[in-house]
Amino acid sequence: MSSITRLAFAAALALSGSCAAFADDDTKPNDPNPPASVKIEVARGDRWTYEVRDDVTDELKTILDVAVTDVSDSEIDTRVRFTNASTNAESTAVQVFDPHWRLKDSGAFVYRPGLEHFGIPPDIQVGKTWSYNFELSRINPPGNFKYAGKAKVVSWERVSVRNGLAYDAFKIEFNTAATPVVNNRKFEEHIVQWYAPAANRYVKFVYESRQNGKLLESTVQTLRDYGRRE
Amino acid sequence: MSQLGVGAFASVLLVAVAASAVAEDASKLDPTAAPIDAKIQVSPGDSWTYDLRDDVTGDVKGSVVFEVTKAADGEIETRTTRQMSSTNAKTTTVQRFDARWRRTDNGKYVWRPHLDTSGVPDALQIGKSWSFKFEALRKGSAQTEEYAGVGKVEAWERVTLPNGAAYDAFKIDVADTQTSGSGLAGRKHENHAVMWFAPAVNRLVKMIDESRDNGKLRDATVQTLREYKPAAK
Repeated sequence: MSSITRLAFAAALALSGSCAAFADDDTKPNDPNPPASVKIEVARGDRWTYEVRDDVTDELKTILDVAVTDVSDSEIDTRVRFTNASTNAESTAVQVFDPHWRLKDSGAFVYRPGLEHFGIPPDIQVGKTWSYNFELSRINPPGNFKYAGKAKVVSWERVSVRNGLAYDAFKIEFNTAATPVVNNRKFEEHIVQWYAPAANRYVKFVYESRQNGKLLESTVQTLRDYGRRE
Repeated sequence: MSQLGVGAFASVLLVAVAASAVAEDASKLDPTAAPIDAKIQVSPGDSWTYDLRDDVTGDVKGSVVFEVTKAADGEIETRTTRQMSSTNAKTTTVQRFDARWRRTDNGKYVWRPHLDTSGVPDALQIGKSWSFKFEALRKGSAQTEEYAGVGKVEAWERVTLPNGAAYDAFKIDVADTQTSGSGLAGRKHENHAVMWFAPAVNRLVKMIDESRDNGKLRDATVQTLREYKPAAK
């Protein structure tokens, strides 16, 4: 497995969900008008619990629990707990995001300026398109990798998640590729994220990576619970 | 002011500062009433059940039960059962401690000589401070992690637990930093524990522990005693 492939696998395992199967339920939003501006409001103790499924097998892989530990003007600091669904083994990591949920530091990797596809643009609105570049630095063993991509806010729609929860959300698509192509292996990622202003974070996250066009990893993260510390 | 006077003033100031930092659920006691060199007396069959709360979110995290299976030769061996609220999964392990409840083996890790952030120092008395070093070895791995830290017995105080029970306890503050080993990779890993040891139950009645990576909070848990059951005589 190449370094990039391993990184992709780790990234997918760290925070992902699967693709496919978004049942074409009723996607008509409760509020037909998306908010004109979105303010992300988070505080210590806010937490989001996601189920992470392998989208190839539909197997529940991981319970992912994200809790805010600190918030400043420039960062959202979180504790991320991974619970292996089959062994119940737990591990935790500190993950640092920018104020728009773009990942800056996962503990194992540092992203400059940030990992675009976990976040949202500050001026989010349906139809918005943009391109981005970021550099990934692996801490141990040291390594640097560059990525470039394009994104689009494709719609404002209703999305059903776990536990009977449903949210009005922006659907955002990201297409990212490692650059340059190394060892004739083209590595690409396709991500679809549903960002719900009412939950202050994404509520569903579909991740797919391909190597030379062939499916490598495919996962779906779906929100199971969102709460704020009382 | 005489040197003695300056010393006394400094002591009063220190006590005052410490007192102001006492948690709302704890109140200072007459320090002269604290037992001298409290003994820890445990027997097979003694058990302690603790509730675990996530100190980041405030959520109930689960519970842990320590049941003594052996207490001899300066070692306490326990059957430890942990139940997590998120999955209801129950795991049982053998955990070993020295005679002061400092963990030496939890099944996954071995600590040499022991994990100071889990137990009580020798010659327990208010004001005692000490420094320590230990290494942690993950079983099946050749790599060790080394840690160094300091501890202090801060106070003798009454601590009230969520179940309403109250205990007279030593408040002990212990902090360590990883100094070498796997996973460090230029980052700083720190652990900090505040423990309340109640001689009446021969164990901790409350513990707040947190870990930080590069100064950022990685995890924080509060453990409070729900039930202490000495073995039937």
